[in-house]
Amino acid sequence: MSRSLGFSYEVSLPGEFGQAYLATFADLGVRRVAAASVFLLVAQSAEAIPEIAAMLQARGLTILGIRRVSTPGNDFSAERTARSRDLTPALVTDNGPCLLTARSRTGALHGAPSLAASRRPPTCAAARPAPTGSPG
Amino acid sequence: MVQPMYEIRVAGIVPDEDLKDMGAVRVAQDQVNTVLYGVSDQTALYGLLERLRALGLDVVEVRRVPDLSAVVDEPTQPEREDQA
Repeated sequence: MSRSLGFSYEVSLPGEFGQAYLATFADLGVRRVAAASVFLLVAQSAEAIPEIAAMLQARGLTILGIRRVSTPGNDFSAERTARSRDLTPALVTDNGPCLLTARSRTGALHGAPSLAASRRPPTCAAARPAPTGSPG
Repeated sequence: MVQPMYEIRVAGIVPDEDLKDMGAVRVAQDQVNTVLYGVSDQTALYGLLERLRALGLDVVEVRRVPDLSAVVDEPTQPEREDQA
């Protein structure tokens, strides 16, 4: 027998929840619930993670994650978006364009707010590639 | 020239004054998240996500993380012996 590390999932929801919701989460099999704060810091140097970690430590904050979301001289998100558009064929469903919701590295949501607002799951199962070029 | 920007996640709720002191930029109007830990496997995750959707709750992130409390015993492969 060998022993390997197991995995579990963390699910983040926006906002805070009252006792009724917390009880519901426990009923759904969630082992632990905790609040977390997410914010952005603009750093003066490109190698600022140790400095940021030290500052958070000095304030008594428990660090859950630090990640760079943009780099000097390189608008990463814009470049990535442009590249993705080039590589990803447009999808069309019977009900019109199928918009895939994605979360950018800056935390902004791109995609179909109408789908999110209506609580409907995006139904892209029947998606087909958009026709390229005009029919003969 | 884009200045380096870092997304920070810390436990608990950081007071607004501390955020101002640090020069933090808000990611969204509602910057506090509730994190549900310990969803045991993908089947449980799927069930949870379905229930959250039924409750009308938005999910902003799902991450698979190592779970130190769930060490799995795996049978070791017996070494193959080459037969002559």
